[in-house]
Amino acid sequence: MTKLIKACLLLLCFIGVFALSAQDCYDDYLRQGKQAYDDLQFEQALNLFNAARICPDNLDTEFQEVADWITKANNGYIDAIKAARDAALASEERALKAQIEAERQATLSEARRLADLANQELVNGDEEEALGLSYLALSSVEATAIEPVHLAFGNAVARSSQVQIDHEAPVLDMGFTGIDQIWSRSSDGSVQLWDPQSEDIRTISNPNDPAQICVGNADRLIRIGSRGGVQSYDLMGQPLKKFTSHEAPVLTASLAPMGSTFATADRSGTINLSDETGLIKTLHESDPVHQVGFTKDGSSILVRSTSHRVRVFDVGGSSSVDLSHEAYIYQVSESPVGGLLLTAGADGKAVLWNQQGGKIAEMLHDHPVTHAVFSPDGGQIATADISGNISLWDVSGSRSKTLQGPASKIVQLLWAPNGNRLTAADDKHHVWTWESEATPVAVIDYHTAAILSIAYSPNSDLLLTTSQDGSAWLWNNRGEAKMQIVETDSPVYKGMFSPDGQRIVIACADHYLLSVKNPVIAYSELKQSPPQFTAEQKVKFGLN
Amino acid sequence: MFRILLTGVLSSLALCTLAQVQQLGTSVFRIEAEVNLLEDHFNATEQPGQQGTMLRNVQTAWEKSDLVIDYELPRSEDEQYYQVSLEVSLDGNKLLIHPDDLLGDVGSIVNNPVAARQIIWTRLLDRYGQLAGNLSIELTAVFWGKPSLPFGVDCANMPTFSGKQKLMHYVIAGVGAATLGASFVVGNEAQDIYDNQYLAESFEQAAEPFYQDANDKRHQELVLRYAGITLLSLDAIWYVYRSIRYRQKLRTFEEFCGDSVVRINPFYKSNYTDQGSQMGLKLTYRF
Repeated sequence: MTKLIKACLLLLCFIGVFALSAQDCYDDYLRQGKQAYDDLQFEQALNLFNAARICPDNLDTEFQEVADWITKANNGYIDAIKAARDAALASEERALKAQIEAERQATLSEARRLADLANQELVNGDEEEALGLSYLALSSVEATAIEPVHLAFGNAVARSSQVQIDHEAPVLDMGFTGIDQIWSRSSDGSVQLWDPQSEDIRTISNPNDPAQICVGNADRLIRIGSRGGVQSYDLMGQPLKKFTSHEAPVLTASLAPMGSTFATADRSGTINLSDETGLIKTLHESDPVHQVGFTKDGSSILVRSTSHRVRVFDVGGSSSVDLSHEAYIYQVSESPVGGLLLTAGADGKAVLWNQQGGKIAEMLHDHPVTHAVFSPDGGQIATADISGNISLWDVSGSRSKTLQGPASKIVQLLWAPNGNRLTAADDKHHVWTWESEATPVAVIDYHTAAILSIAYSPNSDLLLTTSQDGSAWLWNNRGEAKMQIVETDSPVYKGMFSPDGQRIVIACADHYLLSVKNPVIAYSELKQSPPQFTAEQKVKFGLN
Repeated sequence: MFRILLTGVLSSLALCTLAQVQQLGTSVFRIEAEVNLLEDHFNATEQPGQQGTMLRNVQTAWEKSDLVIDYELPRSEDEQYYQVSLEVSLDGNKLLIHPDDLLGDVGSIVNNPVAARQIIWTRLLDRYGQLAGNLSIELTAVFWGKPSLPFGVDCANMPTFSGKQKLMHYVIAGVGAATLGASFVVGNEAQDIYDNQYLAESFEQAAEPFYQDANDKRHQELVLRYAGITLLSLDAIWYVYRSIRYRQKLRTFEEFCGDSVVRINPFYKSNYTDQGSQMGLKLTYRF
């Protein structure tokens, strides 16, 4: 019995040793085969895998595994070639990218060099060469936003296209009468009418009653003197008619959108409504009138006085409705699509009204609301209070967004003409722009003194800022400088784009009006007929 | 060279014209006020010791959202005017005043016929939103015009002391010098007669005529000498007097009629360190 047990134990040990040695065989050959495979020794790997396959007592899974390896080893050369090809392709791609990046960097460097040369030529007074060089620079990096290159081109355009209309005193205000004609008023009370096409300049002056206010449209110009005289002129500067004078200083005037009707209002509260035949009617307010304006259809006149109310007078009849606040009213405006009126008050409210004086909605702030403006489509309202809080509302009076950024008083609030962008200037000399998000997409902090005017180009792509610091700048929607139009020691009171967007005009306290070409338009024109360089210039500037 | 000369002359002429009108006086009046315009609060405090200057009876008031400043100026004559300006700061920060917001008697006030004046600073809430704090207002009046001319000053005729005017002095000095010279000649003759003829005679009666002759000539010499000295002295005193008067008149002319001094003088400078010297014309004009 004992022998039998011993024999069984011996058999079991033998079987175990055999089984272990069979497992080692498989593992060993398989490991060596993999090693050979990794070393790209596919024939040797194939032999080793075949040896592993014939190791005794292989399991089914092991057979399957080694069979897979045999297949891989059979395809080894093909896979290796494929892998090598992939690696080569990847390297080629990287090299190509590196080459493209190197070429891009070279292009950028060359563009910067040309921009520097253009700036130097501007300093030297050769605007034509500066324009050519900066165009070359910009055209090579057109799609890339490189501020110095764009700015060099803009400055070259500004200098080469500028037209200066001199006054004898600081220019305080200006406007367009039609597509091209510009009127400008200076502090000595003279008014100039300038037609850039014909280069004709007409001066209107009356030393006995210097102009205090001027308004114009495509048909005529109304000039109001500091002594209250009111006179209309045609666009050639010829006097048309003298109207009833005001007894008190006139503070505001407005021309109806159509026809020749206009309103003038003075500090005593007298509002004169006139047309080409003369005085139509006189309306009265109890306090100084700070703003008059016509509704879109010309049927009503909005009168904002210091008496905490806006009166809406019916032009044809004698009725009026009041839009009242509990404190001073800073602004009144009509929706661009008509029908709704908007007021901003020091009582911390912006109020939406219908034209019958019915209150539609109140938009509440914690501080006096200094600005309330409709978006160009009339679908949104932006309000700003004296602490710099800006909110967006829908026309039902629900707050849709509170914008982040400014922490001080807003001095100007402006929608881009396409309605996709809102811009605000604060009294810390910053200009903020928002798009769809509450955080600003651009902050311009270049100016060192009060922002005096901001204006969008008709296509909403460019923003113009003028300042008390004596500079006027053009910016793109990312807040990058596109053009420095002027830099003087005196304030630039106003800046505007022409209605067709072709030109930019600024009114300077340095006794002149300056008109420059829109750099985007100038670039398009140069693309049609690029500037040519002589052989001598090519050598001088190192051009290929 | 010609261009420089011409530019210099033209600049001087322009300056001469500008210099006709001068700043004749300045008056500054300061007003401090505690304001909160949204609450219609305006409490001005007049600064002591300011009355009696050119700006008088300055009063400020807050009227219908506007700041009204009343003041008085002395009447002015023809060709005189006031330049009135306003500077304002709120809590120490200077406010930008848009020129369109200042109505009334600000800027140049020409030929002031009335004493009472008024400035209205309007659209304050539209422009500044709130305007609350310590407001400091500085009203300045600068008086410009041609100063009254002292008696005898004629701006049309510049004082001169020309070579022609000096010629008379040179002639008189020449006559004086000649007289003085003649006195020496006569004196020598008198001495010769006395030494060679009067002392050579042994007899008194024969010598007497020579003595008389020498004595007469001595008298003539004295008369001529004193006449020459007197002429020279008087001429010198007169010349100096005229020179001083000329300089005084020129200074007065330049003070009241403008500085139109443009001089072109010969210029010569010897150069001791190098060979040669510099010679030419020197243009001088004073601003």
